[in-house]
Amino acid sequence: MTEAISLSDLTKRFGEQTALDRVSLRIPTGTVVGLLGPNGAGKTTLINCLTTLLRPDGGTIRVLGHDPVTDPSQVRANIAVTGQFAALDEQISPRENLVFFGRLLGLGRGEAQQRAGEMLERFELGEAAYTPVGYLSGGMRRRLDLAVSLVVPRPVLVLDEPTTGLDPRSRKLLWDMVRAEARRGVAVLLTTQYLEEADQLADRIVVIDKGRVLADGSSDELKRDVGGIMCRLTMTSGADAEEVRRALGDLPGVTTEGDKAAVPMSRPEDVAAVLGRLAGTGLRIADIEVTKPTLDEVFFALTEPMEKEATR
Amino acid sequence: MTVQSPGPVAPTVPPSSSPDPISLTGASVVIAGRVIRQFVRNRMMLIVTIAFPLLQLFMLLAAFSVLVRDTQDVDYVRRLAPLIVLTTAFSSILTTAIALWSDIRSGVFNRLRAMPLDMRAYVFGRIGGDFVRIMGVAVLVTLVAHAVGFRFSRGPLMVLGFFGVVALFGMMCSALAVAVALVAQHPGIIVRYVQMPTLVLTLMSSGYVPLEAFPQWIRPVVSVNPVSLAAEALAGLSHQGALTVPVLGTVAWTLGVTAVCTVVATRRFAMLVKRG
Repeated sequence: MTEAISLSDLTKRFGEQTALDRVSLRIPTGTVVGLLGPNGAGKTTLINCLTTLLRPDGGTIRVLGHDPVTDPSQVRANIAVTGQFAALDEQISPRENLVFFGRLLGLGRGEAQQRAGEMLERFELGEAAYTPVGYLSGGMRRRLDLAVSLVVPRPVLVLDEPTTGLDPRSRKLLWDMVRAEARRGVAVLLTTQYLEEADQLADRIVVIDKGRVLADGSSDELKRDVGGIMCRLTMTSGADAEEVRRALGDLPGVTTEGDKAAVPMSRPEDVAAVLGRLAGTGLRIADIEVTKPTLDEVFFALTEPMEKEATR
Repeated sequence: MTVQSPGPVAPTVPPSSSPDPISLTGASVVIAGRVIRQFVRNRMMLIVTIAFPLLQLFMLLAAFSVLVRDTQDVDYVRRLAPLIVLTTAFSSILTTAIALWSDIRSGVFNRLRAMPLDMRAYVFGRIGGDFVRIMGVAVLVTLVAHAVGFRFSRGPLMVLGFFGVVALFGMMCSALAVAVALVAQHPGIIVRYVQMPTLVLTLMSSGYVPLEAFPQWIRPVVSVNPVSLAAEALAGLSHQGALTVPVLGTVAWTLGVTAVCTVVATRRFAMLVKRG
């Protein structure tokens, strides 16, 4: 499989602050990689370096073999970008936006018109084709934003938080579009704050925080690495939160909240130990569930130690 | 429940039949088209640059034309119309600069930066679009003025000269707007440094009233004011009056201002495109 994007030891500083700290990452053609991290993790900085908008301070970037620093025009010719904020001309219509950007990307007048029509249909924007973009809903704008990025197909697609604040229908449509692009062989890098989005869409997830890569793997791999299994308990109503904490609080990695507790464990047999703890107390179990951890739990497990480190 | 995506089953050949990048000229024309389209769609811009100057034309004519004819023995519209044509360009410096300022900070500009595009096209297109707009408005206002008595009385060559001077003046305005927009840190600065000076220069020109009407001590300032020079040139080209000094003066102002603005704008623009 060919490498569409590869970053190695990418570093970017803003004054004293290190926004990206030796980040390495590879995206083969036809795969979707989700870059997951909280606000300020360095996601947008990474994308700006990749798309030639920012000059990195260290490390190397290759986009289909081209270096954004020394050969920005080749990189630009191969990348379609959708930024975090809609990059559209608000005073003109969706159709005019598509034609405008299509022509600047090298399409002839007729070709641009034709592509604009196709994209409007594909992104379900037909009814708003002639309304100034300033009057469109957030979901429509976001869809148009992606449509504009795809008006001329490119082998690499970069999306910065494409579905932030979107209604479910627009989100589903965008997800379908991204999947379709990947099936065509496009390498997709998308950043997101939504774990569900990464889980649904990405073949591989890279978790970053404070400019550093914390984990890199498939959703299943990340879940396995972090906690193996999670045992979730709910006590019968009226259970005392303090009592729950007293009974289970000293187990490694346990989290309790009211009458609920979540205990990470490496083998299903460890459930017996938990039940043993409860036997001598007045607590009664209403519900017990033994599952893999959710990506949320993986995410918190990965990012929280760093926070503790930072506040120490 | 999570649905495990099947992954890249059979990656097709990445789409590589990309069109050739657009030429600098082509891109400039496309961007100029956007500038013109935005202007035509923007009601506020239409009011500021067309309706307001025309209203001024009608009001001042109604108020003063009889008075001016009786005391100065000239048709006021012959003096006023050229000035109004100039103010359509002059008063648009502010709105154009603010529009450009926010456009550079919008996502559109960043999208353009990430495209395989010679970014000089952005400035050329901007200035080109502005120029077409200024000339279009000038022709329109001249036609309206014609309806209320303004006439060209010196032949077609002088008509060309008339619009040539308007073009020079418009180019100066456009260069100023671009430079101001690129240098300003926030729109408030644009308002502060453009609004008052343009208003003062318009009022302190020999457009509304002849030079002789100003107090002796301020006449030198009034007579070198670019608005005075261009207004005198337009009056001369359309009807009667001196030509050499006003026309050469307008050329000098245009070249000087445009040269300074180009140096400033080029430097700032390169920084904005590189950024980071």
